[in-house]
Amino acid sequence: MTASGLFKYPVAVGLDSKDNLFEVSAYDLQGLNLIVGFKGAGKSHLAKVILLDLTQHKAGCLVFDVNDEYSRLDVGRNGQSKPELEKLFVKLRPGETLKFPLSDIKPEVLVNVMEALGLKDASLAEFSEIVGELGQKQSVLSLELLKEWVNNVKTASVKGAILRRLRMLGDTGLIDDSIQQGTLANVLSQLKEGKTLIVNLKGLTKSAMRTVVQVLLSNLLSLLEEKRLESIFLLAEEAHLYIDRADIEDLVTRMRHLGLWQFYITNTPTSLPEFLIRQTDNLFCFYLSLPDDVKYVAPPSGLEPDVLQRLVSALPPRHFLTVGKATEYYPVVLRNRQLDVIAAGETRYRFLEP
Amino acid sequence: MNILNVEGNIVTLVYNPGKERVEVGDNIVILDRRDERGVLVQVIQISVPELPGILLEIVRREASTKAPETHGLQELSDYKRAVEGTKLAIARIMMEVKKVDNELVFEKWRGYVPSRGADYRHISPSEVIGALRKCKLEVSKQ
Repeated sequence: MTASGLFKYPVAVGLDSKDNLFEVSAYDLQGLNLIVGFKGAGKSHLAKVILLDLTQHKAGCLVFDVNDEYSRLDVGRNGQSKPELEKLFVKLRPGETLKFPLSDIKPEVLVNVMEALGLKDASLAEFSEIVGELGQKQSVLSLELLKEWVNNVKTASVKGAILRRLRMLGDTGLIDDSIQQGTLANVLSQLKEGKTLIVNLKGLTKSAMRTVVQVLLSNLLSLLEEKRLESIFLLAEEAHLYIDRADIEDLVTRMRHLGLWQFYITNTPTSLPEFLIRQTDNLFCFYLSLPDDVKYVAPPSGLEPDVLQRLVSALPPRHFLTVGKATEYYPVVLRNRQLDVIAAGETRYRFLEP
Repeated sequence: MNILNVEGNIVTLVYNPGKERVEVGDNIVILDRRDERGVLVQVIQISVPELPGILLEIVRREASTKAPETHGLQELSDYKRAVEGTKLAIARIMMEVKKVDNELVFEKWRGYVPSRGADYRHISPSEVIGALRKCKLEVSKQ
């Protein structure tokens, strides 16, 4: 295996047909990146390959990990932990290693979170008013205080709607008002040091997942907006499970302004907005069985849909086509490279042998 | 390897898998010797020829209950077998190529098609992208 040594920040994405390492520049991954493919084709592995190199370049990455696949990237395949990687990864489990007081969430962000949890119209307006009043009184926001104020709301349906959402927020285990203020900002500020934050969403209910992601993203966007955080990378596996289509579109629209470079990894490309597909800077496409899926992801490839279809349908497992800014818009077929860390997720099998 | 036909930006190449190995995704430069101009193609599909003579021969052989007896030249039989064993590589023209100072320069394809007697050379993706990057850097310097 050889490497070209062309770039200051190389990312070895895979191997070519002659087993040579194929590198792209991390510079060219600053944009919108899409990894798609059939289940088990190797897309998560590729995401981990890219993440490891970005982490080693201290890029500052936030990963939404729906299957707890990324938490052992600092452990070698021999089971020994790798100290040089260990210090770069921060593993966060909502309710366990990720907790913060409600006062860490800015009032406007809290309103956004409640909206993302489904609070609408009159209820949202009422909630916004309560939060505003509490802010004016300079009270330290807490879940209990909020519930007290909401209990004074006269309209029963509005009161019920707000209390339900507050309960959902409480159920995530994220909020702990006994913790010192500033915890969330401290957690996110580790991105500034170039660390990779892995948020383990495995086993959480859909609403809990959405709440966790919404709270983190809203705070992150606020830090980026205020330039208190350098530009970072976001890796979102199956984002449609926890981010609304409209919110994804918003993230994509503001990507360049914020410096929030994004990777979306999915086996259902049609679950992502067409707007995102058309904005994609780099496409990594594994085998896809449905012609409609291939047609959907064809625009960023620069290839005719039938040409992409023929290329993609011939890809064996762990082979992918990559095209975009990082390859000078020339399509390249590559193979996943092995990692010397544990890249597989843990599955609880009933039958341990075939 | 040789060009069988060209339709739009799709080139069909015929090759002998006993002598050459071609995979989907491979990049091949087809360069006219005299003009030192040609195209860069990327293989998008591998197939087998469907020439009527070959198809008829295959059907005849499958339909026959006995092994066929060869009357005439053994060479002819071997030749038929060799033709049957060929494969087709369907490729898309990606770029136009020129050889300048012994180096390959890639440009946007403007419809040029090399002749059948051209040279065929496999090229790695790193070589292609390296050349494209170099070209981009030169343009940005200018």
